[in-house]
Amino acid sequence: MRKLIVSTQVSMDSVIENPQNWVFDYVNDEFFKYASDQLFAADMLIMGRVTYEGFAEAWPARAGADAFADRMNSLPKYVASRTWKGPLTWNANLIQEDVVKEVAMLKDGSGGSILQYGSGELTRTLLQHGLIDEFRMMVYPVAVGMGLRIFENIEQTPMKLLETKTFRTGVVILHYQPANK
Amino acid sequence: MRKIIVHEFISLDGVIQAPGSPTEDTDGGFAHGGWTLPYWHDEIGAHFGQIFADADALLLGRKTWQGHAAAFEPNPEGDPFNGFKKFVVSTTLQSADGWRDSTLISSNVVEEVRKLKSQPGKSIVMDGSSILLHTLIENDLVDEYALHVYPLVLGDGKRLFPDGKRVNLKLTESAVLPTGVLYQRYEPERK
Repeated sequence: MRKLIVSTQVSMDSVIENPQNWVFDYVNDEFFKYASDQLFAADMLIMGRVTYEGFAEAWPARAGADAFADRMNSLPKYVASRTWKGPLTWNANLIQEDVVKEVAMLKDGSGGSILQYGSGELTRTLLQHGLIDEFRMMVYPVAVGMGLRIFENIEQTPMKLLETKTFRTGVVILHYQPANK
Repeated sequence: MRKIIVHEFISLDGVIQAPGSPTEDTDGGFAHGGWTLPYWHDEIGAHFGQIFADADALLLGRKTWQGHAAAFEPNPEGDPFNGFKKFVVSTTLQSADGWRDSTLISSNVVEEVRKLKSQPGKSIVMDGSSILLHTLIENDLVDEYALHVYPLVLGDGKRLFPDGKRVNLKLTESAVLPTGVLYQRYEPERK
């Protein structure tokens, strides 16, 4: 059984939108190592349509820039969308119907972890069906005052703290397992 | 200058409403009150002890003050704030007689809090008081955040930070308690 991991950069006021406006002051070697270890431990990415549209435009342009970008580009992706029409690029496959069943099938096998960056409608659906094994939050020491929040529209969910570490920049890494796992 | 130290219990989605009991604060139909109770650990009390040891005053919003007053006014021996000066901010309270050593601040809150900070004394502690807290954050009057972060998502409720205000912070402490609660201290970075 493969683990499904949701990994998110989050501000002190729980915002996850537009991290490019507040993460760069805190990027260091510890951050790169953590992000890279996590990506290379995964062999599949899943995402909703909104993330796909942003990533499929941004990442191919970084091809050859570093090992991280090449890994992002080469991994197989699954994109959940009920409305998408037409082909997908960026080594991506469409999950159009019954995302719960499809993701359960993807998990039911051997291999590395399945990684979702960000948190949105897809996260909510997968959490409700007990398919998320871990939430990983990188908490940045800044309150940003506006933007979409993590766990938006998610109901009360107890979690188990699995792991925590602190970077020299004050970024705190938190790994949680939802109680329904 | 005295420091204002804010202590809050906070969920993974940033909610601070009604941590201690179901009836503490049901504003907005909040139905999760008492969410900290299953995670109690004596270290939490020890952290309070450390914070209170350097403080001699308490600054609270009306609702939090009333909660503390109801619990501690009849029970001076069990009052962890005995000997503290209490300041309650409210535009509706008529008097602050409900809890010993309390003073009412009913107008010019920002100015009054600035005055308090400039008086001689030890640190001023705040807890709960989400409305007052937003006013103080918006006016850069908070000097430290001591947070107990609980391992659960609540889904709705009043939040620690106000909308529309950016606050750069510095992490000064982060520790894990056996019940999965984190204890984190942050100070605003002022330029």
